[in-house]
Amino acid sequence: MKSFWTIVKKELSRFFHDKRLLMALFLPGILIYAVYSLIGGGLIDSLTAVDEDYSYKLYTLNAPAGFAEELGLDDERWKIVEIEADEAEKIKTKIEEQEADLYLEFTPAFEFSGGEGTGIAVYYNTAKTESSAAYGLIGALISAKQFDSPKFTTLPFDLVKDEDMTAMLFSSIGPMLVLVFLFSGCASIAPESIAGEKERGTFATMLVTPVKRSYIALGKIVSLSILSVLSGFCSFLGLTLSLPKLMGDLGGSGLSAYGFGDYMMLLGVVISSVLLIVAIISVVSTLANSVKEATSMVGPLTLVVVVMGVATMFGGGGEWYWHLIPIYNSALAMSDVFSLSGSALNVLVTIGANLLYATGLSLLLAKMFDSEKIVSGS
Amino acid sequence: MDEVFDLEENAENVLVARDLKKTFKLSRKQKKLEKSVTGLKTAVDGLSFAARRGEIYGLLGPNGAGKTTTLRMLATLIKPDEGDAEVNGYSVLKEPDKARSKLGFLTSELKPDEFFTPNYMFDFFSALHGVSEADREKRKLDLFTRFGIGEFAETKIADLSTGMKQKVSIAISLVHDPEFIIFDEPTNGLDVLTAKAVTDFLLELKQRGKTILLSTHIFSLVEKICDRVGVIIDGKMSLEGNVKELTKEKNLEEVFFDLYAARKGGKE
Repeated sequence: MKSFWTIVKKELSRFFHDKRLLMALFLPGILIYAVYSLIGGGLIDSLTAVDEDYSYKLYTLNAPAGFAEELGLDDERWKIVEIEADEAEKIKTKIEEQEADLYLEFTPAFEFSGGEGTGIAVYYNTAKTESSAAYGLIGALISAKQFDSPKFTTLPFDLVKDEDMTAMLFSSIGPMLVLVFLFSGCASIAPESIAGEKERGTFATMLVTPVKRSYIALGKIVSLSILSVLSGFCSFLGLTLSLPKLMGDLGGSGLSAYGFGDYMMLLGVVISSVLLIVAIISVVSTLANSVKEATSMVGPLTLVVVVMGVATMFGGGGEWYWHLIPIYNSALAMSDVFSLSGSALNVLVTIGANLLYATGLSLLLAKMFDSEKIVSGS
Repeated sequence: MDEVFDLEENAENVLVARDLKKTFKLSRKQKKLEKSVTGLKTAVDGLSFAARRGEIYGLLGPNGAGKTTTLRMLATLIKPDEGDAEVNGYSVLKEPDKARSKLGFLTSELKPDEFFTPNYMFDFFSALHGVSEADREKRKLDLFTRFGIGEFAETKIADLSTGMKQKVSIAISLVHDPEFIIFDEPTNGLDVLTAKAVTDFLLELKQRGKTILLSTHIFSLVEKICDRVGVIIDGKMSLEGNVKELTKEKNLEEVFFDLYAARKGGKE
């Protein structure tokens, strides 16, 4: 067992004394912070922040008398204009063009007390911060009106244009970005540690010592995992620090938008993902005879990670069994946590599945280290 | 310095190789090149030999004769398909860990991590071999002084000259003071001064009772330092004997080429 720790210490020393490798280890976290802060500060903030003095332009049709007082809109923040039915299309276009904020179309003879067939159609545009914020406020006020029991229907219509939607989608690529950063962090150290040693002939030097090969495998895995977990933790830190900027005014006071539980779920998902990723890349690196070969073998896996990360944007995956699919589960779980809809069960299934796969792959790696064909590359 | 070892009085076998056989699968490309029907290449074909305590045994043979494969089997890096070998009584098949603890292997294929210093690598391999701190420091002082590594002890191996790297490799392969040492082309690529230092050291090891298996292409080196020699051609032991006796009438180079021509029937 002493020799196992000797290998772990040597591996850690190798990385912590090499500026290039150290950079590769911690760069993902720094990048996450930088990119997210840039997105958050430069783009999302501009999309989500509404000036305190801003007055929302609200158009209504068939609004019942006193509706503003009823909903609490009777202050200077709301400029309400009642329109005629023939102006409706013109107002909708204005919203589409981001010239108006909100348009409420009440059914004729609408009453808050409700009645059959009564309801409100709410037109807004998510691409316009003020419109989106107004929709959120109105939605909350209407929901409060119907807190006890539903009295009327509310039909939302998002008049956002496709190109405007692209900007919004940007905020949902978070899980993919995190996964890619984590993957690239692991991919920059594992090939060096295994394929690199094979290539330089330093790996076989260890094999002619009396140390059991399973100890050498374990030493490699444990040291790589320590390094990768550090890298993962750095990514997590980068993500956490950038969250206030990412959330902007939507998140209120930023960090407080996510609770302790959310952070713990994120941490668990990130660390278990790192362990799985390091195990996958270690197996691939052991098959390769050089760092170059390992890197080219790892390349297509990056694509898989991107696809898995992007796949979460298209919905689905609410059930727990989706969280058994490696990599996809991590993206799903992170996406859920980001959107404040993280389910503890799904996150636990993700962490459990990742740890299980990582253990299986570690056992496979130990077997591979015992194979003369793989180790000698003959 | 240990006492001078008397080979004749201590004719005990430290290495015994029995009927070693190793076959490799050929890739499609190799199959075409070798014009092989079976797709198999027998690298070592029933090789048997022994090296006695305190002798330098030379292994001679052309490229592809099976020398490296033999050395790799003895060092437990690969397993023989048939046969077995014993190092200090430990089977390389059944007790590879114990066999490894008794042997040192120096080859250009195996290198210390150049990112580290000679000092760190010496300590690292000493720990892997389970060498005590006191023994480690004593051996380090001895070997580092012997090879002039001392002043470079804290220099990254990558920054050392080729000769110094080879000296560091030798020192590291001997951290555990093995009974049996395999040297694969130990003077390859070295300048005459470093090559001389290495051959002198091999003779010194022999005097200390160590058993050395030396694989080389250099006939003069075998004639100069080896007690016995085995000539491998096509994975088989074609000739084995005492170097002095074999070279009574002809030098080793002539002996080798006569043998090679006879084996190959004038081909190649």
